[in-house]
Amino acid sequence: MARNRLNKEWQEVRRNPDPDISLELAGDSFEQWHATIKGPQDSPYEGGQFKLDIVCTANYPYAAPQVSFATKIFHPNVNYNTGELCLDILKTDWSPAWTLQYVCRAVIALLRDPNPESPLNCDAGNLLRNGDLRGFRSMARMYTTEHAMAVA
Amino acid sequence: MEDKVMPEAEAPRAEIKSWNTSGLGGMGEKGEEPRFQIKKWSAIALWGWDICTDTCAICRNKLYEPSIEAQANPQLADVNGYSIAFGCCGHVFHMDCISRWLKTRSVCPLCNQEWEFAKVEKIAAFNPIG
Repeated sequence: MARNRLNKEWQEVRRNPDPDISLELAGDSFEQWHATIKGPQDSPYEGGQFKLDIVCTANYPYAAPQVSFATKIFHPNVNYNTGELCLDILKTDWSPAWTLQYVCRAVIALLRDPNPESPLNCDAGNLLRNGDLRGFRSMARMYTTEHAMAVA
Repeated sequence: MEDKVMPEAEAPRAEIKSWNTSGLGGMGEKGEEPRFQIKKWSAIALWGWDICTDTCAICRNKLYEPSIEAQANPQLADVNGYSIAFGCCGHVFHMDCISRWLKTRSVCPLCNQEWEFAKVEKIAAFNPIG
């Protein structure tokens, strides 16, 4: 099932590409994917290209794909060291009606609207919870410039 | 449903007194003038799908074809791969697709409401044996 369904998604992505998302197969199987998402406008991630590693188990789409950031990012809901991210739709609220492209859109939405209440990066979460928006933005901007805009 | 062409120009003449199939468009049995004539006949057909989509959101196959699983393993597929499950929320999936998901979480994948079966139907134009 996973393979056939992902094959359908792959064809759909090639037919209707999203300008903010590039989704590619990593290797020969449909198990591993690489995605590159564009940092959303009017966020400190704007202009950055963030790489995501996506792993789909044989139980996909009944089980959510595993998604992590391969690009370093300063964000309350992303573990800075491991790239692990906290997103409800990838955990308890997953639905088999969603697709990898939808997941990437959800990650872009998370970059636009961080949720400081469930932080995986306490520094980023604390800045936001204390209302230091300027501090958060400048830190996030610095890491974006350093890691996500490196390729000239 | 069979197609019936009813052009306006050929309005059938009907006689109410002795209504039968052969009488439609003809004269009365004794050759008397019909009591009324249909001068114009504008046929209007109304139709609609009874489901709001034609694709199963879980496997992304069309609902009038078997589920992706049944398609990939026709020898293993049971009747569930050739059936459509309607939820009380109005959403529709292949029976085997939704059954497998309900083991994880008993909600509709599209609206997140508690899943309840409204009805299950076999896929009409498909015969798994033939």
